[in-house]
Amino acid sequence: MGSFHSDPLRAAVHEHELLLTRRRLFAAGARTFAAGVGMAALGSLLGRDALAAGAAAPQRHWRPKAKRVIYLHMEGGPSHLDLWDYKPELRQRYNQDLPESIRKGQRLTTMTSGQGRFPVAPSLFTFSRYANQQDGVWISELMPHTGSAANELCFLHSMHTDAINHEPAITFCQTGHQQPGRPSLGAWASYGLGSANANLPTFCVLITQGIGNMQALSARFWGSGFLPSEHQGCRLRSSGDPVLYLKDPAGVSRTDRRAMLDLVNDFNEREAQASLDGETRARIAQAEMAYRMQMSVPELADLSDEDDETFALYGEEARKPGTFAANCLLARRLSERGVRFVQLYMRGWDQHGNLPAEMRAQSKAVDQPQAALIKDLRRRGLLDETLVVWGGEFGRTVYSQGSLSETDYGRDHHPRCFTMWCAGGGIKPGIALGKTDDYGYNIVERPIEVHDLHATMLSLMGFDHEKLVYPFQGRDYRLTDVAGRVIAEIVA
Amino acid sequence: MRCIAAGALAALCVACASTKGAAAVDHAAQLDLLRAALVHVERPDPASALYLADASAVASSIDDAQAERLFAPLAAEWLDLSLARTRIGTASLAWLERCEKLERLDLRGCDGVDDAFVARIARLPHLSELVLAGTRAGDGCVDALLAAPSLRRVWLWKSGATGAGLARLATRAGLLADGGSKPDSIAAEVEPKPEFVNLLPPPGESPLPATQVPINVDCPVSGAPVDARRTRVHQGRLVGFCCENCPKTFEADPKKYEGALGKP
Repeated sequence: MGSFHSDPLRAAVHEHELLLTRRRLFAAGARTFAAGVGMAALGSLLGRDALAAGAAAPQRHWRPKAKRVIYLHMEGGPSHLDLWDYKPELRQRYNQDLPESIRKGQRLTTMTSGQGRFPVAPSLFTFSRYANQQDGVWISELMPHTGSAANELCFLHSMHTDAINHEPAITFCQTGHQQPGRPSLGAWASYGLGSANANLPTFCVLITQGIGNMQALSARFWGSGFLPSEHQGCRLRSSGDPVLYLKDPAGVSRTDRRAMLDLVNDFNEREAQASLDGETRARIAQAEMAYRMQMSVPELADLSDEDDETFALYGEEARKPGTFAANCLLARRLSERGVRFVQLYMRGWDQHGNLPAEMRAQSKAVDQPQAALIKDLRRRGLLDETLVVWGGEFGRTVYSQGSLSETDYGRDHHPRCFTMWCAGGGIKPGIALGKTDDYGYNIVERPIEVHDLHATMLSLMGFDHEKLVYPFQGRDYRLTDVAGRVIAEIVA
Repeated sequence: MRCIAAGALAALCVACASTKGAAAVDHAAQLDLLRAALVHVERPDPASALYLADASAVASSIDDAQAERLFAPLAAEWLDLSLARTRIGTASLAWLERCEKLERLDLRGCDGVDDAFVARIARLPHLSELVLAGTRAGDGCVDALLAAPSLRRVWLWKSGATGAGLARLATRAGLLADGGSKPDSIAAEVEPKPEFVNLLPPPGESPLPATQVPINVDCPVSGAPVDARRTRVHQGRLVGFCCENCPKTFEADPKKYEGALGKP
C-alpha cells in the first residue's frame, strides 16, 4: 500500500497487473491459496482487492477509540471572539485601531482591506466560566446549554487554516486540500472503516439552512474524489423524499425491483470482470444499497418512537424536519443504526455585519440541540465511542467590518486563529488546548493545523494517517497530504 | 467478492482457539453467514484475532434463535458485541456465557434483558464495559455488577436501576455507573455586563495617560457632559465625549476642537 510510482504509466500497469493477479488468485480459491503464500503477501493482495470490490475496509493500524464520527460543521466561520475565546481586556480597547504590532501586515480579504480604520470590536456578549476538568472554560452567554456540557468538551482555541475565503476553507476542512478534487473526510472514513450498517450509507450528510448570510455548499464537500464512489456522502433531505429517486415508480413492486436489480447486477458483474473497472462494482454496491434503503430510510426518519423527554432535551424545534435540532436527533439515530460518519452542516455563520442579532439567532438554533446530542449520546453509552467535532472553516476578525457601535458590528474572515471543540470517541473530556493573544488575532500557544485535527481523527478511528493511503495517478494519496501530527495532548 | 474476501480472512485466523479443537468452527462460513445477515463484523485490533460484531442494521429482526445461529459458533472469539435493540432474552445466555474474551457488550434497548440476565453475564472474566440503558435490569443486579471481575463502566439510563442502586454501585472503586443523570457543568463565575471603554492604549503605540479620568468635564464637540465610558487618547491625554458620534467628529478634525480642551 505504501508504494510510490514516479511514472504514472508504470503505476497504472502495476495496478492492472495486481488486479489480474488478484482475480486469478480468488478464482483459484482463496482458502487453498492461503496455505501456500505468506500472510503478509496475501494480506496485501487481499486488502487491495477488498477495496476494489468495496467489500471490506483496510486493516486498522491499532484498536480504534472512535467507532463513528459526528461532524458539526458551522458553515460561514462563526466568531470565536463572541462564542468561545474570552478576551475581557478588549472591552478597554473599544474602537481603538488594531495595532500594526498585532496585525503584522497579514493579508485581509478585499472586503475590509480598503477600510480606513480597523477599530477593535470587543464582544458585547457576557461570558461565564463553566466548570470542567481543568480550571474552567469561559463560554459566551450565547451558548448556555453547550456550557452545561463543558465537562465533556475539549476546546481547541488555537486552530488555524491557510484559506481566507469560504470555498477553499471549507474544501480544506473537509478534504485536507484547498483545491477541489480530493476525497472528503467522511469518504476517507468510509474507505477506512467500511460500513457497520448495510442498510444505510456509511457516510450521511444533513444540512440546515441558517439565519445569517449563507454561502453555497457544494456536493464535493462530501464527495469521494478519487476513492471509489460508493464512499461519497449521501445527503438526506429535510423535506419530501429524504433520498431522491429512492422510491419505486408507480406500478413497480418490490419484487419487480428485485428481479430487475438481479438482472442488471448480472450484467454489471460480467462487465466488471471483463474490464476490471472498480466503478462498475461500486455501481452494483450502490444499487443494492438503494434497494435496502427503501426500507431503512423511512424507519430512520420516523420520529414517532421518540418520547417527549427527548424533544424536551433537543428542543421542540427537533419536531421540524431540517432544523439543526432535528438533524442532531437524526445524527443520533443514524449513529445508533451503525452509520459511521454523519456530517451536519449549519449554514449562516458569515457575520460581516449585523453580527449581534444574527449570532443570537444562529446560536439559539444550535446551542440546545448540540448540547443535547452530547448528553443523549452519553447516557445511551454511545459517547465514549462516538467522536463529535464542532467548528467552522475559520474565525473572524477582532476589528469591525464596517461601522462599529456598542450595539452593532461585523467581523471579516480570519484564518489566523479560531476555536473548535471535540467530545467523546477517545478525546480527553473537559479540557482546553492552545491560546491566542489579547486580541484573539494571533496564536501564542500550541498552534493546531487543520491537518493535525484530521490526523487525530484518523488516529482515533484506528488509523495511522501516514499509512491510510489510496493510489491514484501514480502516487499514494492521503488525507493529510505531507502534513499532520496527532494532537497527543487531547487523546485520552 | 465479499464472500471470498471473508473466506480468506477467516483462513488467516490461525490464532483462533476454536480452530484447534475437535469441533472447529468454519470461520469462513460463519463470517459469510454474519455478513449475509447484514451484521457488521471486523477485527478491530490488528494485534488480536478477536472480532467485533454490530447488529445495528438488523437489530429488530434478531431474536434468540437468530442470535444463536449467528453469534454462538464464534462465542470464544468475540471481543466487542453490539446487540442493541435486538429481541434477545434468556435463551441467548447459553452462548453469551461462553464469550470469555468479551470486553464490551451493548444491550441498549433490549427488553429481554433483566436482573437475572445481567447476573449471569456479569461473571464474564474480561467484561469491562456493559451498556444496559433501556433494559429491564434494575437494582436486583447491583450485587452481580459489584462482583463483576473486570467491570469498569456500566450504563443504566432508563433501566430499572434507582438512585439507591446507583449509589451502591458508586461505592466500588474503579467502577463508573452512569444512570443518565450526570449533573450539568455549572457556571462557576459570571462576568458583569460588559462596558466598553477606551482606557488602555494600544501596545507600544501610545503612552498611558497619567490618569484614567478624562481631562475634560464637557464634550469638546457638543459641550454636553462627558460619558466616562466614551473616551479617546489624544496627544497622551484621555479625552471624554458625550456620545459615540462625537469622537468621530473630533478625530476627523481635532485641531478644530483642541481649543476646548485647554493646553496640555
